[in-house]
Amino acid sequence: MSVIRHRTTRRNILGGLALAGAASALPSSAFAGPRASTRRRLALQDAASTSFMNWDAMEGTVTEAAILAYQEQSGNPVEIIPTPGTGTDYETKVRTMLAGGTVPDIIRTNDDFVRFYSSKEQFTDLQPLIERDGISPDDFYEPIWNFAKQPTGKYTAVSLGNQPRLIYYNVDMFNEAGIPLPPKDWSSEGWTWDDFVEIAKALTVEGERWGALIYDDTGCEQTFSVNNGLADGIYSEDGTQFLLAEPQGVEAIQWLADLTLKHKVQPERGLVTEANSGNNLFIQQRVGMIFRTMGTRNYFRRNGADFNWDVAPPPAKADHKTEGSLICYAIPTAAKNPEGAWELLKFLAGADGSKIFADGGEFVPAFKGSAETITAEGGENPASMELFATAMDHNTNVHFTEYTENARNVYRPQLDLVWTGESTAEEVLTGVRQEIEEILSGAF
Amino acid sequence: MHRQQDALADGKSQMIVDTGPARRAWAPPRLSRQARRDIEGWLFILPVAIGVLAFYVGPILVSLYTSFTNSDGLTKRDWVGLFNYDRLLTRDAAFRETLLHTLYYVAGHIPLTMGLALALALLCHRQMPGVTLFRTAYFLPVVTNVVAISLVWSFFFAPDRGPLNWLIGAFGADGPSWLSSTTWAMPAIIIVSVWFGVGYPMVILLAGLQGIPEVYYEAAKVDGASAWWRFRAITIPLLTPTLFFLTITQFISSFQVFGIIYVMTSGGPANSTEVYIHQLYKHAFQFSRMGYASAMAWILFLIIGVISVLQWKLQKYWVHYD
Repeated sequence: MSVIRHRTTRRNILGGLALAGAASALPSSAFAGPRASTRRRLALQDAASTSFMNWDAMEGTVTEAAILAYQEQSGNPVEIIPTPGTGTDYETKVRTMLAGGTVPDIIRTNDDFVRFYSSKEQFTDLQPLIERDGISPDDFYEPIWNFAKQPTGKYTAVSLGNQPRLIYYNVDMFNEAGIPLPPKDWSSEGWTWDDFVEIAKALTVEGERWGALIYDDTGCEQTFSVNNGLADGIYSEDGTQFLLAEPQGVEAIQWLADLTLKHKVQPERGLVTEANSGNNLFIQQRVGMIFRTMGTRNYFRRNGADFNWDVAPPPAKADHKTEGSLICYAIPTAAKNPEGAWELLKFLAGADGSKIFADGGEFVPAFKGSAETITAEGGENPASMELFATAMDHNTNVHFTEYTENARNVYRPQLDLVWTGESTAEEVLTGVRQEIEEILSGAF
Repeated sequence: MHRQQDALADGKSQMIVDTGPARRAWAPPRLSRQARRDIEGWLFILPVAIGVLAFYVGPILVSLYTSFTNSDGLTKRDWVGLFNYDRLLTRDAAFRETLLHTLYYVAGHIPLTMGLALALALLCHRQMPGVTLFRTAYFLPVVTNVVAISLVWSFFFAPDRGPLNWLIGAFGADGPSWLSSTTWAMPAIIIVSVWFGVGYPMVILLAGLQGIPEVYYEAAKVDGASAWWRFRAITIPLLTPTLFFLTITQFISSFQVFGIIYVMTSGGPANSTEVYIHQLYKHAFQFSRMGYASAMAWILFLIIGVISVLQWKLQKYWVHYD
């Protein structure tokens, strides 16, 4: 015979459910980072293979080809870790893995976050390995090589190369509209901001297609503010000032918004917020010119951009530069097989790996000499492929600090108000300046 | 020589002479029948208890501790006392903003979901051909992946070629740019969440309707009560325990809305759909402020707890258990 000590009533059950529901609001935030003993233990396990995590699917990519080449050459196995995709999904996974000490031996990392993770000592200092193996920085493009050099002197990531941003344009659309093609070099003749607006107007057919699409690419803030005369771009060199709120930055952002709001040559914001929606508009020939990184070239080729298209520099104004996205990989301090990871990174960054990346048109390798092989083959799009290589001389980078990512997460959502015309660039950027600079100072 | 006092089952005790460790024979302690039953009971619930302690109570306690630290989730975790709570409650404008957005969502989601669920439950309660098919169809979104639903609805809301604006256009009007408008993004989210969530309360209300004895309706009919009066005087009062349960659970889940917003708007445009849990997630995983995020979680716990208690206290004014 059972003993019932407490009477179970409907009220008890409902009360319990309410309490359980409220308790489920609490996160399991037991993150204090892996202990050193855990890291050491992990380092002793499974020393044979090297685990590698990228944020894109690897199958059929140039990166996969390079890894296969490494495996063949070295005989060392590489394990590819499945990833959820780019953006916050990937970053959340990386941070969780770092906190749990279960991170792979090599991880792709956003160039925006290298400084942050380095300040938290999450990435291995590669300087001793560079010195041990006699790797000469002179063999690499200096801005790319030096990107991972931290203020502490540590060298915490390897930038395999750079993906410059250029204007991709539909050659057939230009010919159909009887418009001269943009320059095939970094000349500003006939390719200023005013020229760009006029060309975009000529390409636009109301209700059918737009002449240009720029503002959905995150590199537009740096590129167009620098080209408008704001030498350092979004942040000051020491990363403490929010320069985008300066008049040149404000004017650049407003000019980008006005392509939609005033000139009606750019799709409204709602059409380009989904992933790849802008790219697909270009492929569908509903956009004549689009500002994108070098990596988008392969997306266009894989996804049926079967018309004639080419690339041109961004339009010039006071300056003529473009922001590239660096292809960064790091070896976490919790990596099980740091030595194997270093060997793979050396291969990818060296002459053999760089040649594979250059031939595949994935990015401009940091390794000097490889960039020269970046040319169009047999009439393939884009014909002016070498512009990506020459973009290295027109490169501009954001001045990152460990706080810039947080700052960006505050000001960038506010730009939505500018893009939709609910506020002006001046109202938004000057309005958030104080808050952004507090964040940049490290205050919280 | 050692002495030991042993408790016997009959409650008496006796002195045992211990002649030393080498010669002592071990015997299991004799327990009362009640104690044995208690132990058996604990053994039965032990597997679940371990899980609850390890995966619920443990993390909850750790998050409470973390909320008093400056943990970044990676390295440091220094004690900062009430700093996180103080900053949240006195200096964080975004905290207040996201709380208001969440209340906006709750105020839109709960009445619409409950109203629609009641209407559907009443329809599905009728004996009609194909009613089982309708019940299944209405419940189907509940068991569908929220990411898939959100992506499909994003397509529905597409401003230029989305079916919704096409439909609005058929009536000669221009549909809004749903997900990129600070005015329309939250209503769009509420529409999706109602569609997604209406199936569950509908099923619960249907069960509640089926539990109302038919004899009440027959008696009311004999007395000449109209359909509306039968609904007002019999159906609604006897459904109030079910409605009360659903109100509490819907309130709790509404305050924790995340998936739809994460996929459809990421809190945009211009933070207009930035709700509490999404902001908490950003602090934890984007800003590396795990301590701050934990404090947010505990404040949410208190908010939900206080409102649940209030609802509990107020039930005596409108819930009929008999």
